[in-house]
Amino acid sequence: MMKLEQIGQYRWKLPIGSIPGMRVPGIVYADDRMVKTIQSDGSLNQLANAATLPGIESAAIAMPDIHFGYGLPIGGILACNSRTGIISPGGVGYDINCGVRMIRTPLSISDVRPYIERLVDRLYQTIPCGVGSDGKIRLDGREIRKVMQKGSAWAVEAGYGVEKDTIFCESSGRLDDAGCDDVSDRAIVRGRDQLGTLGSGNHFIEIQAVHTIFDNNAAELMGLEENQVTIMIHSGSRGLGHQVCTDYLQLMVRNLSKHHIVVPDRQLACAPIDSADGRRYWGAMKAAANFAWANRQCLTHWVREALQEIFGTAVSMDSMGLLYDVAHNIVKIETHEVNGKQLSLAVHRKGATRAFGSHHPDIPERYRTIGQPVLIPGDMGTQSFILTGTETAMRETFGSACHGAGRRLSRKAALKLAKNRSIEQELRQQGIYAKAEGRFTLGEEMPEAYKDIADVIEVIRATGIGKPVAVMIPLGVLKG
Amino acid sequence: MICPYGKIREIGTTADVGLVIESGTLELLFATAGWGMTQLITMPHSDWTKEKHRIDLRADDTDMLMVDWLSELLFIFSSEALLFSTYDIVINENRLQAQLQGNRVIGSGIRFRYDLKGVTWHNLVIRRVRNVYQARILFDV
Repeated sequence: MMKLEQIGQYRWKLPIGSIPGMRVPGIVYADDRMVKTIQSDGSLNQLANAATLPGIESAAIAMPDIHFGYGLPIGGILACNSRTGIISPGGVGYDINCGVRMIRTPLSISDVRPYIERLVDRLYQTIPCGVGSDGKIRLDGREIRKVMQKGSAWAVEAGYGVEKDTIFCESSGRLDDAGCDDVSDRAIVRGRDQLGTLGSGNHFIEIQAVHTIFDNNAAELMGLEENQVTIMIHSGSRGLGHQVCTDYLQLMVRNLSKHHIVVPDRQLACAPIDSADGRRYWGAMKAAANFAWANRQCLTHWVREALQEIFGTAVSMDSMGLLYDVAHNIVKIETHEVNGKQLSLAVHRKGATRAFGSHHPDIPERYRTIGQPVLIPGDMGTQSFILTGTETAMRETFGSACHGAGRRLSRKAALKLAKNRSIEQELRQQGIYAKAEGRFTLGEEMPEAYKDIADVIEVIRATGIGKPVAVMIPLGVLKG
Repeated sequence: MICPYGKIREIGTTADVGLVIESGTLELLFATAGWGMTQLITMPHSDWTKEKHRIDLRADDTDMLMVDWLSELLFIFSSEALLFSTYDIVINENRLQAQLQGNRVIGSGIRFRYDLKGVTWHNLVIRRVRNVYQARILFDV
């Protein structure tokens, strides 16, 4: 078992030397109870492995939702010097730009409760979800290139949203200079029929209501009030992104020796950012990230249509504005201060959310005085949170926070626990209407499979990495 | 249906799923891995014989060959909705040649289990213990 040194109430250090070759320590944000789980699930080994990678700056960082993944642990942040460091597909994961967005509505909890089943059922009919589902949008080779170049803006231009939507996305829903030529034909084949699909597993569309507001000023700027209904969407780059990761892992594993790189885990195979292999992955990753933003934008459009169908003139397109959209599996080139110097870094966030503090130029003007909105979904039976990014996050975590509650149980263990129970009925008794395409999805995604989101948020709040604005409770959920 | 090529045990990590498999030969181990991955998507049937497919892969080592092999099968499923239940495999010096039989499964009323995103290299183990070939493979879900 790897030993952690406590360096603060919720801060722990994984010292250099925990495994051979560590260039920097690991820093873990967690409470005492979380640490016990973290120490036993293998995720610290994964964090230590990441700390060996060339060009890593300051520390390999883990958020309180850290759990065992592959390569970099889920909840992990890896920042590498963009001049001398590496870029790693395994530091991002297969679902490139998996992320979350939140849509405001003018409806209240009492407006929606009587119609919740109708709304979720309508979303189920409208939005393709589950394994192997194809979307309603057919893209030829030319059009899919446009999606990969333009991201969210492609969807808006195609009629799936309004121009304002792109303003309220991280990076305006588009990373410039996407390398469409670096995306393989295979990735395009996997993606061409999947734009506007939810996916499966933990991807969802959830109808929520604002339960409590903690920060009135921020909530007002975000257009949130208590009892207001909001919609949260969680999805990613679908098969296109999965194949980009597969392709570049294959390439980078083969070329490790060419780049004189030794990794403790081939899942962390990487290449210097400033190499042909590194530049090609960076370009393809941006293309896949843009595809994901376009995907979430199309889903947003159909959610709005479903709301209009059911609530008629009570909801206009203008009244269902996008609050914000965040990516939580991505690598981005950002400038951060390290040891008093401003450095350009490739910040890999795998199951971690960007959380920039106030006045950062990358935050939409509307939110610039309060910090970037940070959307943190919980499990489908409890709560989700919205926070703002902080200066502490900028100083300590490369402007990053957690991405969710974090799984506690494997899918297999969750199914075992769900045996002879109806999770659907249990949720219904709590006033939550849940529908899933997958046969076992509700069991695998049952609330007990996740850590308590309130504990995770408390660590984020107490360490100053994020500032809670509001908590939402679920009314209805569609799972893939 | 029981895998005719070897033993399969499904394992779960906190976020993902995996297989621990064993067989009598390297070729059967690769067939078992193919069957096992299919089983994670949906249970294979012996009457899946409508489609025939050939695969020819080369890799630098056995681990790479395994990841490439399963990634190839996953791509075929993702792009053509084709899953296999019959695997005839020859492996020679890290070259794999396979003749496969299977069915297209989308639209067939089959309900699926896991949406596998990728075949990972993480903690990948392939080894021979006396006369038994064993492997441990994790998949991203």
